[in-house]
Amino acid sequence: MSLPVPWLEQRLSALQKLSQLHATLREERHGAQQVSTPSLVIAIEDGLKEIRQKLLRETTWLTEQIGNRPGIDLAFIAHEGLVMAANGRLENHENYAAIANQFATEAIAVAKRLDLEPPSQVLMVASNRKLALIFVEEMILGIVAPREIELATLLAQV
Amino acid sequence: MDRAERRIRMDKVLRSLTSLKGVTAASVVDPDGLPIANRNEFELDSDALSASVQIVSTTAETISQQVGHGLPFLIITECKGGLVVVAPLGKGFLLTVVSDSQAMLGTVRYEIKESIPELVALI
Repeated sequence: MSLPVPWLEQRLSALQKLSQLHATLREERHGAQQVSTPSLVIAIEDGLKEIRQKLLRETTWLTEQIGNRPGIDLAFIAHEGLVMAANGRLENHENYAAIANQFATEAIAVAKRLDLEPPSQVLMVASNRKLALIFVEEMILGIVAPREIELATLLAQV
Repeated sequence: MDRAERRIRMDKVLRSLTSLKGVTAASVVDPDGLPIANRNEFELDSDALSASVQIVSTTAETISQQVGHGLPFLIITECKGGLVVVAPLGKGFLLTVVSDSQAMLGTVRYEIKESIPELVALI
């Protein structure tokens, strides 16, 4: 199985762009504050708010779209171990979000030890279910499905 | 920026917080425990809440310093009915956000953390 897949790839790309834009503006705000340009700071603050609103709408929409697909048990987006959005029939999304954070920390450490670039995905296949974690800047998209479900096929279509 | 402009900007930040799913109130409290900016969607005794969060903040500060963790940057009270999140802004000012059980803690925390620099510059 390989992730991301075309439909999902597009959505993740949109999320990533928003997230990167937000990070860039955050840096610019810091610079503008240092040189005391209030009008610029205000313009940047407004831009940041607008991007965050889009980012949060996108996270909610994405988890709804994925979580509503037949065969998906849970879709969630986590930030620093806490749930930002979740959809699916599993109720323990808070546990998954916390574990996703641990996974990310470990995966980054392991990749570093192996001289690999930072990981973009982690997949765990258990005897009953599988958990896919996709790293999008500061956020993690998690997808839980029964082991036999082909995520690549399921998430390929709009 | 004059006082009125600051107030407008502060209100905009609070509006952004209360636009989040499940967030029902947001306010900035001064060191005397009085609300200086406030947005809420339900009947709320903001004066009483503001005074209470100052006590909570002081207590949390004492606890965190007792265990050597320094100053707290977020105090989260998770209840059956929702969340109360308090973020110290410096100079004794606090941001307080109240939500119902529909709110996602990750989203609320993310937006609060991102809003703090602007609020700090406004107080």
